[in-house]
Amino acid sequence: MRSLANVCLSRVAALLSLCLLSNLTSWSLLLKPTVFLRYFCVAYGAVQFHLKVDVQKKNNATNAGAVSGRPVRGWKISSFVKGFLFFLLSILSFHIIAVLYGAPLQEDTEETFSWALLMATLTALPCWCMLGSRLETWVAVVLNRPESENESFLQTTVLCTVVGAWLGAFPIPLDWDRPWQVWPIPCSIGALLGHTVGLVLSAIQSKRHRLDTKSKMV
Amino acid sequence: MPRIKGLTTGSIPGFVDIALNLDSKALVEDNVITQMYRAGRRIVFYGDDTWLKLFPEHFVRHDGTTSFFVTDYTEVDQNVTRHVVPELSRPDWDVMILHYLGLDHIGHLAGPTSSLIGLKLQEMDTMVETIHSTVVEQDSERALPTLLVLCGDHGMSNAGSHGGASAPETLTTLLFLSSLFSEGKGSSHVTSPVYQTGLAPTLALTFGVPVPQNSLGQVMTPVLARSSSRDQLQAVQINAYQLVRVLQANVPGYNREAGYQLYQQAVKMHSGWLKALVTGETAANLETLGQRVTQQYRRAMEKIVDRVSASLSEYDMHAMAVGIALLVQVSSILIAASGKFVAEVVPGTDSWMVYIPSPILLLSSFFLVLSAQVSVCTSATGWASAELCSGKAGWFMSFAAVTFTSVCVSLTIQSLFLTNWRTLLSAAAYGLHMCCSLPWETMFLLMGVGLHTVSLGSSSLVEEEHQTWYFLQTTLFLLLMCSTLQALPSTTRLRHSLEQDTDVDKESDIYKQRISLLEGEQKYDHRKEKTDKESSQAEEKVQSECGLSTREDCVLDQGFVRKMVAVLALLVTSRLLRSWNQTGIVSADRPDIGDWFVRPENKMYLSLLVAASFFTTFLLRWRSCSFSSSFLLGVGLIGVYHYRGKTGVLAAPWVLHTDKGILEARLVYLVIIIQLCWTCVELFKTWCQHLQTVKDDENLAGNRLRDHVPKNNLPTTQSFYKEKENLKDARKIFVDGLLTTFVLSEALLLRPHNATVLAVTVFQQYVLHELVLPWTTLYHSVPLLALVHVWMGQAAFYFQGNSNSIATIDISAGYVGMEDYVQEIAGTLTCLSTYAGPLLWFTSLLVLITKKYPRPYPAMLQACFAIIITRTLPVTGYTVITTLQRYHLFVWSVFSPKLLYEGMLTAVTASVVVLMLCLGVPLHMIGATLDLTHARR
Repeated sequence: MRSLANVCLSRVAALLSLCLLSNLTSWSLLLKPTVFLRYFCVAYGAVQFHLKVDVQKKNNATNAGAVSGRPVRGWKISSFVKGFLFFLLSILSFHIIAVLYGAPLQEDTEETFSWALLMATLTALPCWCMLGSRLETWVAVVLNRPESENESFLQTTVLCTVVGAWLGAFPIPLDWDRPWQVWPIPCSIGALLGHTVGLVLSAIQSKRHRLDTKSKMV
Repeated sequence: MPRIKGLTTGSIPGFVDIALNLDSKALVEDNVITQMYRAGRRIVFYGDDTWLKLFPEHFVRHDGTTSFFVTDYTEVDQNVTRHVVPELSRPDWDVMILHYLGLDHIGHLAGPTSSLIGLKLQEMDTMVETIHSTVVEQDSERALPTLLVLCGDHGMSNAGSHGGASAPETLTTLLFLSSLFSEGKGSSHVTSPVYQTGLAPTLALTFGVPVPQNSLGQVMTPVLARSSSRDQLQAVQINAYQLVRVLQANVPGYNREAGYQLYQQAVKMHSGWLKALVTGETAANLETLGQRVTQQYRRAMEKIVDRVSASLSEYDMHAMAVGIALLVQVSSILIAASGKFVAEVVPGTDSWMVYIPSPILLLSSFFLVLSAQVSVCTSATGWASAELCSGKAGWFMSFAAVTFTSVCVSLTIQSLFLTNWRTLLSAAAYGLHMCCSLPWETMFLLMGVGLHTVSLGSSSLVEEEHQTWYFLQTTLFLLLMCSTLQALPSTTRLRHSLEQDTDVDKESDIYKQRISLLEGEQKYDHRKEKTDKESSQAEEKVQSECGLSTREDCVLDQGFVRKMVAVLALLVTSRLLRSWNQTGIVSADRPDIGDWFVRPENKMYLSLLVAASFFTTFLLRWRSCSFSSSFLLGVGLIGVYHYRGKTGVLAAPWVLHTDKGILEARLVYLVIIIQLCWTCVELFKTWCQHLQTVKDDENLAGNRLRDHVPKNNLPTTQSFYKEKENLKDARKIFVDGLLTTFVLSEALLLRPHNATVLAVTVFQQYVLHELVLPWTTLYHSVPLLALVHVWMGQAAFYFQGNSNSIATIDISAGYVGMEDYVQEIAGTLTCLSTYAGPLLWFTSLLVLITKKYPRPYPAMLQACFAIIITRTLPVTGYTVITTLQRYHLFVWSVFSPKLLYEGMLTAVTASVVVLMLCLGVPLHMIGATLDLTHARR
């Protein structure tokens, strides 16, 4: 059974290796942002699904079980479809948020959509994997004070990703005329960096937490 | 205007010239037109009437066209063209100046991609052809050939404006046409870039008049190519000598300058050349020698021009340092006082005694600062400021600065000794802790002020400052949305079931926190006679906010949807306005919605848009206004539409012929004035009535005491409540009337397509005040409310299409209803229209505070304090940044205009604050009278 810290660290490793791998091919983030983001989201989504199972099993009895009133054994088709719909909804809302922040409405739709896809993969997908297909739970866990280790992990990564993307917007209006200053590259880099930082932070947190509980038990 | 000055005087126009562009006075500096006039040349002029103001009585014949009706691009040119052909056939003039304005106006109106540009350029081309062919024909019969100079005073940016530093704005054509060149065949000789300042000396030398005294221009030698070598050398020598005179006047040790030494060598070579001429050298030798002399003169002139322009852009560091020191002091006082403001909430911390310095300390620091100032002023290093160290005003300013600084210094020293560092540290730690536990939106609001100040350090973020404000505004709204989601009852309830052990502590924590917030607010209100009913209401409110009472879930869900929709409406409208007027440098030339409506072929749509916007504005204001006020608003808006129809901008079938619409605009001004007076009179009347009732009550109470009648009988209480209602209404009606008057005047002054910006702003005010703010935690803190309004105002400023470049100021607002230019009125009107956004939001803050607090004076003080702090911090930061960046490439094109904007905004804000505090007094006194009545009964 994998501990949360190990999950975090292996995700970081997966994320970094994906980015490095893309640099070897012709579709790196700087050259073809939309292509990179699309491939990255598929690959990283698969990684998240793969690493999800462990976490889910661990929490079956507590969190996820309580939500639906009975223990979750497997993935029901209907709940999967529901979760997928919510995932699509989150992509759409990230797209809308980007437009509200000033992304062009009619031009660059593909770029904006790829960014929204990335944001949804980094924020909504972990929620879906760990909390099941209930939108209210996602919102509640992300916005309220965390009650368990897993919730704290989710909240840290999601908030770090969002803040990273927010900070990523800062260099866009600067007049350095660099190729990486074009929407959506800075915000994507910001989100990826923020996500990595969030994962590392929660790994550290969980290690510390484990140490604390151990020392208490001793 | 600064460009005309540059063309005629040959000097580099100062930045102040641009700032004072609105006001064109007679040019006193030496210039080529005056030189020609003195030399007895007869000059005729047709075109922009700025020339007539600059050169009064210089022209034998003239016909000026006013240049400020930017919307007109045919009349202005026809007015010039109709004079050209008759003048060409008249022999009684030496110089003719034609200034065509149409192209510039089209650029301002529709940009360089407009279809009108091609037509206009063709028209200009035909004109040049007419003139040139006539001139060449006439030249064959004359001894002296005619010179035709075609030039633009400035270029055009991709957005159609000018005033910036980009290449399309600063590069323009200069064309010399004459039958002298290549015997009238019209082939081109030389193409090379020259400085605009070079035109004045070139014209002066070709016409044989003295070069203007302060010219920094260098003569264009290719133009003189047809004259003899001797004359050419003489012309260059005259120009160089004039530049040496300029150098002597501006640079103290001029004889050590490289340029001067080069000039001396050139003069020697020149005399050698003249000797060679006399002795009879061969022509080829003379030619090469002459070219060498010319080269030498050119090198000397270049050096001199560089040196002089460097000395002209030297900074008065002394005055700048004093200014920055004063600003830093003011902002540190404000920051210290903000701590004091916080301390006031927790009473009994420290007294005002701390703020009185001890006399010895004060005296000693006074003399210290004074001696520093005097020593700088009298020192020989050239640091002394001309502004501060000479003249009565200078000494007065110095004295004021020294006094202020000495008080600050002595206070700082005193507090350094008095402070208990341990308590200070613990207080700081506590403050930090408190900051971390603040709600997100509060934290973000405080952080945003700092972020904005920091962003001013980057020149591109100054150019694109609107992006900063839009970014901050959108984030604030999204955070509000998040906190709405956070308080969503279903999520909270869900969490209860999610966690088996319900976290009661946490909920009650929030509950307590909200209660204490409310209590704090009430304490601040000094509402000592807080009734049980009120507090229970407050508790209920808090309960419902926290989602504790389950039976209200249904209602709350509705509330939740309403809240989300309201915030979403704010977000969407802001996004709409954002693409209404693209501004800044990068995206200014992108087509935006406003541009589309302004196009001449879309006049019908623009009219419909304006009508719809006015209607929406009317509906929104009508809700909260008294009948008379909204009636006047309706009349006024119809008047504004009629005025715009009369000027020909909007479609108005009832208008038979268009003109400047001066009478119509003045009628709207009249409506505005009536509305303002009416609102004031109504308030005054109610107040007087109320004072009367208080007096009556006193008498009544006295009678009652005598007659032993029970005090609290039902009828009087009822009448009291009725009266209270009335009085509250009177105050509300007053502030609402004020806002409505303001909305009407902005509707008149703003450009027609910005009527929508106005309508949407009014809509946003409604949504924010009625639907969003009351639900948020921000509602309980006046400074935070003020901050929200300041941010909205800043965003609205850029929504209107303003930017940090001088070019975007809409000077046409200064001419609404004006026959001709009156500086004070035009300035005020331009300022009102430019700062429409911030002013509207400041006024709505006044409305909100008055409605929320029965006795608003303390709240207003707090709001004003917050507004002042948000102004002082950026100004202080920005002056320091600009001083550090004073040798930056963009200092004149980016940093200086922004400094002007900052100064202007500070002035506007200061007057608003003063006005607000003045209005706060009567409003507060009415509230006080109300309480007095309450106490009496």
